[in-house]
Amino acid sequence: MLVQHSFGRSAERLGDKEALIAGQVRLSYAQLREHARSLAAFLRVRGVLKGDRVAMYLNNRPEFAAAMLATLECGAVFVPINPQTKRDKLARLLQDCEPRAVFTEWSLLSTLTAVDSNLAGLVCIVCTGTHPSGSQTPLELAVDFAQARASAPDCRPEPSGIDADLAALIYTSGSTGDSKGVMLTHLNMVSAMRSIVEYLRLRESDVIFCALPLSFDYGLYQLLLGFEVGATIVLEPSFAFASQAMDVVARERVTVFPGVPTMFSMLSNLRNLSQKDLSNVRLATNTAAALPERMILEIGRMFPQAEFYSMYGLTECKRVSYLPPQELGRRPTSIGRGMPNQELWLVDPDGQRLPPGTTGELVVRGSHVMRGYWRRPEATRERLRPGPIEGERVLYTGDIFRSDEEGFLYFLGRKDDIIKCRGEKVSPREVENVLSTLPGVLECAVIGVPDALLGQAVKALVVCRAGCEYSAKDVIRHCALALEPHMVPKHVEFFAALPRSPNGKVNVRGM
Amino acid sequence: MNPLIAPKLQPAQIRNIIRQFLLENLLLGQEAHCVDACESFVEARAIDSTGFLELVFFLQARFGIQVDDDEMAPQHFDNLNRIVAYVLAKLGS
Repeated sequence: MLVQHSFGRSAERLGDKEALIAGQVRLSYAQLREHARSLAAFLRVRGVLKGDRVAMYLNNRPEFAAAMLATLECGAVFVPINPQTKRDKLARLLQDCEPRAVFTEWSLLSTLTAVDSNLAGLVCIVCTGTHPSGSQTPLELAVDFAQARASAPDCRPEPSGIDADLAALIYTSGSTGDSKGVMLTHLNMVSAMRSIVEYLRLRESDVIFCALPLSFDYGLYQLLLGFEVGATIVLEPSFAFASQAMDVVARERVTVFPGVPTMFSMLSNLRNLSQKDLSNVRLATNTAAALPERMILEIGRMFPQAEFYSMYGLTECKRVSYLPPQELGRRPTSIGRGMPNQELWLVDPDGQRLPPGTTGELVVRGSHVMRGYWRRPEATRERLRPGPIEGERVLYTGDIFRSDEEGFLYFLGRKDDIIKCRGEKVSPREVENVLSTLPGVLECAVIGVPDALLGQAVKALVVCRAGCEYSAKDVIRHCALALEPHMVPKHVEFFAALPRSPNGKVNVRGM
Repeated sequence: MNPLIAPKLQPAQIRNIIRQFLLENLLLGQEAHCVDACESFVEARAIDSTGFLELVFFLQARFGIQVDDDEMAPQHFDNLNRIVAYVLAKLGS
């Protein structure tokens, strides 16, 4: 079973049913299948082969789904890239994954063409959105989606893949500051999908709301889960205008509302939410960052008919656990005991299994655990270590949990210093690397500080060279040139020197 | 800043104040060209969800206006001209 097969089966069964709703666009399963097939034919004619990488540098648009399915039909590997990624980082990601094709938007093409890295293997760039009317000369390789879809049909046989083949590379921030590509096989993704569908009891009649970025695995899986059960997915470009987005939820009779703490926090600020008919929402979910207990109660008031699922996961295996809604009253801050078809346990620093009621690093075992990090064997060895069966690898999450006597887990923190801002990982090292390129910065450190809206906000601690003076705005502007918005420091504090531990290492804990 | 003085501001001044705020707080770095050129801050992904909230808090505090939930929509906030027109309408009403 391959990832695209679940879509194929739903399209076979429910051709006329709406698969995707995005603003004015409404696509049935049959129409979406047709889009994907024609794009797949185009990719094959252009020379995209099994195992090739195809990047999706796209916003939340229906074309994302068609491009992803087309890529999978070619036996290729799709690579979602946050469309807010700036030039230099985009260059690093593209150099790393060496895409054969890129799906993007005309408005993002200038960032892509500014990437002066060697993209020798690239055979085409397929663009959507409004074609620029200005003088900009698009790359020779760039074609419009419509043009690509209208090209000659392909008569070549489809490649036959197996579930051990890679389906996706999803980049995630690591403590070293470099983004690492999480290699996910079809088996990994299908296993995760099936476990999630089982515990959330998703069904064909569901209407799933997705304002989460599709470049983020929580957003991406809303599409995959919807396709698996034959549901309808309502795709929103963003949650910036929360009141309007909730009008869409009401109008389309959404039944499943996946959110992150920042979204729920924005909803709690809406004064008119109770006037909207959200009675169809039967399920609300949260993951990516912990919710304060107070907010969990508020969500109950926002969606009075809905069951609320507090969940936990990481890109390396997609999802780990959920708290059954009936447990919410007894242990509101727990993220549960694990999902179906998976085993988990805590270990001490020596890797020894710990009994319930203790604290340790979470280890996850199951067919959803990634194949490793793309071209980073050392990082892979650190995360994937020998499991109970000879030759097996299990995932050391780097997350520290406490478990109660019944095995319910409570998140305590990370082994490394990764910050979670708006539910997305921020590597302090990545921000520090950018800060260090400011000529007047002598020394810097980056930490996370509590923030009511963001969960954690990024704070930069900066020591300037003698004679140099920066304002906080200067520092923030410099970072905004190179980093995605969630990584840009919200606070900047200047110091004469950074505090150091007795062995000379910078020690900024608790600042 | 005393919001009571806001009604005395000329449209051009209001535009400058908002433009300055956007440039100094939300359209940093590569997005700076967007302040005058962008038709849609959302489509250009120049301002994100928390950015729009910051903008609303700023407009409320600076101009003494109340932004209703239903007004928090692209037709009022998606580019500089729309924001200025919206603020002028609120101050005039």
